Amino acid sequence: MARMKIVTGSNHGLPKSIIEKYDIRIIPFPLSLGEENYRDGIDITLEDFLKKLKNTKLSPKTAALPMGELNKAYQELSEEADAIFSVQMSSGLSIATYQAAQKARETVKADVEVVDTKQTLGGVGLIILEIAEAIKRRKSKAEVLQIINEVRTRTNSIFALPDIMYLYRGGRIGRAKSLLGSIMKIIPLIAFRNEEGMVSPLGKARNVFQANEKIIGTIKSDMEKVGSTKIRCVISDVDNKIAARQLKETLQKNFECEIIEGEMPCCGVVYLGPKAWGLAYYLIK
Amino acid sequence: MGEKIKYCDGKKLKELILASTEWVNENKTMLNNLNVFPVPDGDTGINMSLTLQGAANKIRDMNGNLSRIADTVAEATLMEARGCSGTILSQWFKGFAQSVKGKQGINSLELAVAFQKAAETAYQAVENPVEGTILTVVRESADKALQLAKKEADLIRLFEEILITAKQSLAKTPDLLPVLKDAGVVDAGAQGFVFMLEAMLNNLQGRKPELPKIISVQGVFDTIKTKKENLVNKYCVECVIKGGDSRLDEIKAKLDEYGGSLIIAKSAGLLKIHLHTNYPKKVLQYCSSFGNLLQPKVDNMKKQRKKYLSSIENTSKKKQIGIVAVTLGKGLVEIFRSMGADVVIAGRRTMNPCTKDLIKSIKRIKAENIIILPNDPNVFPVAEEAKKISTNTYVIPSKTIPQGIAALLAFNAEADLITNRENMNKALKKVKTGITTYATDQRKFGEIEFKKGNILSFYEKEIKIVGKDVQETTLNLIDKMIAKDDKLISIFYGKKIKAKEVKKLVERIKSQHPELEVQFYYGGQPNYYYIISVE
Repeated sequence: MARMKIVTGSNHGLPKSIIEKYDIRIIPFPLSLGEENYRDGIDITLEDFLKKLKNTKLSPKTAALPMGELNKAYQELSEEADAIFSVQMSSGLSIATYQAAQKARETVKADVEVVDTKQTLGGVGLIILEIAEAIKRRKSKAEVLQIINEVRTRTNSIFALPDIMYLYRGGRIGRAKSLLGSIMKIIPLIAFRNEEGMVSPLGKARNVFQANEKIIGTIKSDMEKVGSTKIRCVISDVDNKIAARQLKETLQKNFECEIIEGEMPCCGVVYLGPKAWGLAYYLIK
Repeated sequence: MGEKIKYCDGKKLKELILASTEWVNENKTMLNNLNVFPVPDGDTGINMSLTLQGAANKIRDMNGNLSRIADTVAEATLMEARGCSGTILSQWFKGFAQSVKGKQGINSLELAVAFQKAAETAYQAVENPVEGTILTVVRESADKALQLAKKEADLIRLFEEILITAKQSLAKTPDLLPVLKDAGVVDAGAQGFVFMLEAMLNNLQGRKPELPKIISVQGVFDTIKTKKENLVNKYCVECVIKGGDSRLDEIKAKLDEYGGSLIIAKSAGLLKIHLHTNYPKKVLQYCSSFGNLLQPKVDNMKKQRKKYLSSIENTSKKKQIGIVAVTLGKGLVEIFRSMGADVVIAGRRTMNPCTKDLIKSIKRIKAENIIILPNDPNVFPVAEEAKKISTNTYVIPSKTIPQGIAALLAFNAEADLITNRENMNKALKKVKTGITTYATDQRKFGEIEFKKGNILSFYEKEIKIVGKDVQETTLNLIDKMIAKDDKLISIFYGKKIKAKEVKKLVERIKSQHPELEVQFYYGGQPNYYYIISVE
């Protein structure tokens, strides 16, 4: 029976409890604010990072996962596993991370499968969860790969970005630039859907209530499209527990759902900005 | 529902024709896109629409019994008929009119008999009737009507069944006409007739029809490209001859020699000729030998098709949807622009742009489809005019600025036209509008009386409050507008209001309604102090 392990970047969005339960190896993204450098999830807490952001005019930055760190992780995991799943964020958002994950396989004993989730944050997390559960159920590597392909098509995520300028300054705004520039105070909504692997503009809302309504509407239509009646989701927020809670309540009112309260990494804040919130959802068959 | 309709009089027929005309016009682009037979030149929609509009224009202000209305429709459609489908349709109306001659109104059986006569007359007009076209659908609908009318007196039930049969017949047209199957579409003329029946049924039921569906053009496009060589006859000739109906058979035989797709419509001493030919001059010369030649028209179908093909190809270069918004006030203009309107027409003092202005704005936008947000009911007629004149233009009937903003907010450039129209229309209902303005005159509106200079508050176009102080009146208005689940008030302040005043107003609102979020923006409108939206 092949022993299989999972390694991923620090932007998986899952709570610590799940990471520990399935013994998932995490590689921190390099984070920087001005002159200061951090390892995401290790050197600074979310609270402190947000405080620093408030008090500076500088823009935060992230870098791709260093190939050296990936290689080291692969080597170490090779001691306890025959097959490794390197589950990474969408190559459309960070081609450098994806390529590093691929290249780092050189000189590694174990079989490394790099998974392009076409997602980020909780979307990555949900796919990791499916893989972990499959491994626990003693699925073969081939079976797990099949599950990954299936799950990826049914995993989407939506974020509400009250301050979409963070996405813009982070260079990831893409087609969502149509959401910029409104004179009226609006909350732009972006989505990662249909395995596009890139930001797509979902719409605009006047307030938290309307934003959550739009999110529910989108999930509803996605569920109808594939005939799904249940979802599993990871909800997270950047210092906006109120909005996240309202979203959770509305979800529970409308759908049969398993809700995981995710943890927002600092590298997520760089692109989502303060007061953002959202969820990744998997349309269960 | 539950109310039966057992009788169709002149007034009702008029309504049915007008409803059909509007619905076919709404869907004319889709019909154009389905146009594969006999010649794929993308004009079935426009042709049927113009043919029907010819009739609609004549009967709109008429009051007459059924027979008179029917006769007028038959005559008007004959004169205005364009293309094969238009000409066939005019003959359908001719047969219908003949069947109901002299009658004030008809019951369901008489209607079914009229449908039969209409179908027969339509067939007779076409020299080589082809199945899998509008002819099949009118025939099968008429058969169903006659079968049912023998026991069904309710016109609503009758039309329900006729429509079902017509749709089934429509769905089978690709099985009857191979070129439709190749292109993956149903017949355009037949679909046009189904739209007419749909509109009539909706009218009888007292409903508005749903938004039209868009179909993909790709199948049609591929068919046109591969069948390039099949344009046997290059020109489409149409004309009306005054006279010659006594020698109809002779004319038919001769014209048939000159080309194909011959359709002759007859009515009270007039013959409407429709023919595809390579000898347009000879055909017109021949026709004029029988009597006065009216409205001669020659179209180069080869050119038309080339133009149509390139317009489909150019689709990818233009953006899918452009938006024109009408508003008044520098701030509001900026707001609409910043939210994605391509062109914002700042109306004049009374906020009424003329049709010319609107058309000019539409032409400035490089988009496949245009959506107009009128933001005031007074702009509706102009918007409808513009819609009729331009192609692919749609109106989202926003009555107020807040409705227009809500609709624009619901717009997503990445979604298709149908989804956007659906969402934008839905959004209109989600916002309540109130206005504070001043009276320019002494007036009395029912119970409410006011003098010049009084402050007036309107809630959804009804005067609710008359007062002396702008802030007080506005606060009272807001109190009336707010309901239990409301969460957000937006205030657009006009030119006459200073920023200090608004801030004070906002503070008072917040203290009276602490559970609500209040946003305010400079609208700059000259005519209203405040435009308030509550949602």
